Amino acid sequence: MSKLVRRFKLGQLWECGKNESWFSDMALKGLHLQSFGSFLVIFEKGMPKKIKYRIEILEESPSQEQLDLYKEYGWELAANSQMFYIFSSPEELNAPELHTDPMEQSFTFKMLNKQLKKNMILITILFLSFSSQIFNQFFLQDEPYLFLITRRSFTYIMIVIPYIYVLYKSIRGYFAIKNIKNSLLMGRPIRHNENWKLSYIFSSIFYVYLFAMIITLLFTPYYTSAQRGLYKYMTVEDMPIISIYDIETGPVYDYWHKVRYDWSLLSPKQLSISESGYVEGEMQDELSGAYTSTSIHINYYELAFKGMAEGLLNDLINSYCREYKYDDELVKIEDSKFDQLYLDYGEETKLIFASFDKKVIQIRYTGNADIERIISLMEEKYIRRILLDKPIRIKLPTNN
Amino acid sequence: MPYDGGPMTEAMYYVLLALVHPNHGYQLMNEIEEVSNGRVKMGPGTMYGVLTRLQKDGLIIVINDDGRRKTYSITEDGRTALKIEYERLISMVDDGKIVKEARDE
Repeated sequence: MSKLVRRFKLGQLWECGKNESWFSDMALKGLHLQSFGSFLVIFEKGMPKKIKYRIEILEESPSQEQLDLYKEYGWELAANSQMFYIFSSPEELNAPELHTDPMEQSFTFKMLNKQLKKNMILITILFLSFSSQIFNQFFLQDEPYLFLITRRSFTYIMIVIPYIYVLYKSIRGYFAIKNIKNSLLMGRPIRHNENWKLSYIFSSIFYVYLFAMIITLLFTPYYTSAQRGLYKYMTVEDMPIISIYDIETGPVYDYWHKVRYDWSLLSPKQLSISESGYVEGEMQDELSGAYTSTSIHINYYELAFKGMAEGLLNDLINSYCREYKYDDELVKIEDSKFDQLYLDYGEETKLIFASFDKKVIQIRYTGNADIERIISLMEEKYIRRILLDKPIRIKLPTNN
Repeated sequence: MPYDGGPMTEAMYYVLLALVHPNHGYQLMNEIEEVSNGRVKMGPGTMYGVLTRLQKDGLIIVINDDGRRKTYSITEDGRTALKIEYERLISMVDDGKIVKEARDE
């Protein structure tokens, strides 16, 4: 059995000149066109030969009689894909052209032209509805940064890139065929020699991207659940959070906590942690008795780019204000160790919005501890840790 | 493009002309060359393109298809179209006589 060599398809087969020249150049290297796959062209390895190729558009599959006649004139069917039939003829045969009448040939492009027009309209409509959705999500949102760091936005961007390429190709294709058709109608024969190299690079990039995209999108859920699994076994101490155990001086009773993990390309680590419990003493009123409740909610983001930190912090503040109908002024602390720090020294609920380097932290604490204590803990956890570059230890559960 | 009675392409004219006697693809190629005294050498792609189109327009029909080869023949519409085209060409040639007369003077 002879060796087969596979290559990505070069654009669309109606780009006759480019494909014909490409097949000829491949034959010169001993790679003879054999068949077409969905994304690939399959060549058979053989002797280098000078071969001419011609792409024919046939509405109906050719009869044996027709193929025989073509053969009689030196043209053999090499491969076919949908309505495109590729005929080959060795250069030395000097076979007459398949088409001797440009005007007649232009009629064969008519149906293709109609089909491409339909395609173009369909793709444009789909693109418009899809992109208006994306536009809404990205630009008409109150908090664009909060949306940007979600995995959903990443998926949108991944999909929209090849879509733009497909749209561009379908529009260009329609006009290219229209031009070929019109120039044939005016009696100018089709161009069989065209440079294919640039087109080949572009279409290869497109296919590689498409495969990478599909694989990425398929494996994202696995990656996410694997990461989530990792965090399940991490102790609170090792997570980039502050626990109520750290904040409260006494023991904590009825401790409860919940950790949510997520990631995206623009924010590789996102943690959302809620903790609550009761601490002794510090009685606030008669009804609650000897215990007082304490709780903390932290949203923690590590960003891919430092430049996004300010925007995200503002979005977090806005979104908080909207959600909790909060209209008090946050205090901006200028001379802190953080890049940005906004506080609300509330009586019961204390708010902290801080960013440092690529990290953005939002904390809502309800309890009796001072906000200064939380901030010094934060400095310890978020700032010193980077400076010391302390590795995160993972403790696997010893039993069960 | 359905035929609208306008000027025919050379290929179309000669295929119609050759099909005045029913014929199949292979012989048709030779017939065209013969009928044009060797002037028209039509590519097989062009010929089959014309056959498909003429069939769609009802100017020719397949009168016999034994699975291996199809025999085509001109229809009445085809004959009419051919006649109109023939007369158009004649009058074109007649009109062109002034070129010759101008030269003769």
